[in-house]
Amino acid sequence: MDSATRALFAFTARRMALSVKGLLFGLMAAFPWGVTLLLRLLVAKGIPVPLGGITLYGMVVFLYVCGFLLPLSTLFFGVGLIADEREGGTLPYLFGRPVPRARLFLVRYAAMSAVIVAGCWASVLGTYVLGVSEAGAGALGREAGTLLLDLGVVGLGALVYGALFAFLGLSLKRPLFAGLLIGFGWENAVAYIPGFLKRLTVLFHLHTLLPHGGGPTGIIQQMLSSTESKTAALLFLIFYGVLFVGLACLVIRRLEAASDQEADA
Amino acid sequence: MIRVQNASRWYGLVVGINRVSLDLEPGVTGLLGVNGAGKSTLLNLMAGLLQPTAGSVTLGGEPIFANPGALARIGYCPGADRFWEDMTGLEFVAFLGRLSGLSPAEATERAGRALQEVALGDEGGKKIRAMSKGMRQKVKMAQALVHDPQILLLDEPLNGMDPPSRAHAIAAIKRWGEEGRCVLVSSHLLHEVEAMTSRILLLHYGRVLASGEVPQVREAIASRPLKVFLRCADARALASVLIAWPTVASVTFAGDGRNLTVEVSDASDFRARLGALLAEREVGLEILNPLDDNLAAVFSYLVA
Repeated sequence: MDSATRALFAFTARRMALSVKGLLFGLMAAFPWGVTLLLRLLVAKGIPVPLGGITLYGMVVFLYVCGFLLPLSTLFFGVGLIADEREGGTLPYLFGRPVPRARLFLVRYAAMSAVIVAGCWASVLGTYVLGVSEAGAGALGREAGTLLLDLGVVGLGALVYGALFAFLGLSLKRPLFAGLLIGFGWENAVAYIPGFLKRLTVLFHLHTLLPHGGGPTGIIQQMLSSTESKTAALLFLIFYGVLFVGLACLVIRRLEAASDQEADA
Repeated sequence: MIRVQNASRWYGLVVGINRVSLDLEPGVTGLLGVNGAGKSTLLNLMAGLLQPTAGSVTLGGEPIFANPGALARIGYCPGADRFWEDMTGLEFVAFLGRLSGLSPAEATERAGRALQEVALGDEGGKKIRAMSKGMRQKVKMAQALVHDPQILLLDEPLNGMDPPSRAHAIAAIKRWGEEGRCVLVSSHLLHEVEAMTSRILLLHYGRVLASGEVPQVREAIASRPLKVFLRCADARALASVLIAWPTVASVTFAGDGRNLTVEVSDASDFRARLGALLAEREVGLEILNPLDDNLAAVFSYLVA
């Protein structure tokens, strides 16, 4: 890795992590820890709670991390990957340097993905430790396979959602609205509709890959009633990821750093 | 070096620049024009940040836009006062140096040198958000310089600087030109450009109105006779000779009767005739001073 790549990666990751968006992302990532702790406190006080242990952990990964945290964080970081620099007027500094455009995008995308994956993994790991340890320290080891699969799926989800929203951010003038529609309209509505259409969402394939379908609750089992094989889901996600990254690389090659006549105002 | 050939840039229906052609040569060239004349558009095209709608902008025959090979040889100081505010000046310049391929140690060392070059020195360690406008301008200039480019494109680099800083910056820009770099500097302030160079490129409504050395440009403005001030012992005698020359449009007496203002339609012919006259006879000439071959006059004649 050359000096420019390392500098750009560290710069992008640091700025994202230390921004207001990064702070909010951190709070959202830590939110399930608070819920899990609260539920354990209630249990400790003898108050009956409907969820706990591996079931609670599974629902957090399935509904909160994959259905909310991943799309929301990748949406806000992804659409701003280049657009934030453009709005801030700092894009000429990046585009004026001898870094190939595609590499510039890929390095920033990698840095963004690293930040999001780290936050989401922290959320999953913390919830796992706090939730599953309720059944004793031995349970942590017994469910380690589930945890590793979850981490893999969440990581893959971050990459694919990140590619999708980064592409939207490069291609559209107002990508946030379109991103919200896709991330929380299309994804959530279509992923549960029977038929082929749901294969055009990221969430459906993530759900197929998640290991919680065989968990102890009937609710999740019913929601995950997918006929898709895990291999097909994986291939679909890889295809979507490669497609959006490739398209973004094409778009950024033609992108101008100063495209309005305000430059002369 | 940079060649702009019939380049046009449109923003929808608005003209940025229109059929501009030029070759940027070594030395300092002043880029002049009123607001909206197309200066920043031209600089952005030359810096590879914009694509021409028509025509071409090339460096060594290669298009500049998004071309790393060309961008490595260009240093661009944007006009807009935009930064990553939470960085120090040194961090900012060193980071952009690293994007130009410098190693971490080399980038830090070169950034320090570039900041010294623009007279920011130790104050480069301050956060950019805590810097004055003039200091921020210096940081922008330093980042353009950090990778030692052959071509420098500076968009209003002296904005917001105090007089000593301006003087220092002007001296630095002249030095970069003398070192053989191609420096294109845009400015609204004619006296600043005049202090840096006598070579200008004048844009108006997106078109090149004039380019070249100021006196040559002045001579080319045929519609405006050149005004020459003369002071001599016997102004009347000299006036009677001058008024007979076909190149002299008018002669006006002023002051104590020893001062003359002569309107000349062909400056070269006037100079040749006057030289011959002075060699032939004693006219007691004390002062000979062209009144309006300066940049301000050229600018006002062409633009006003």
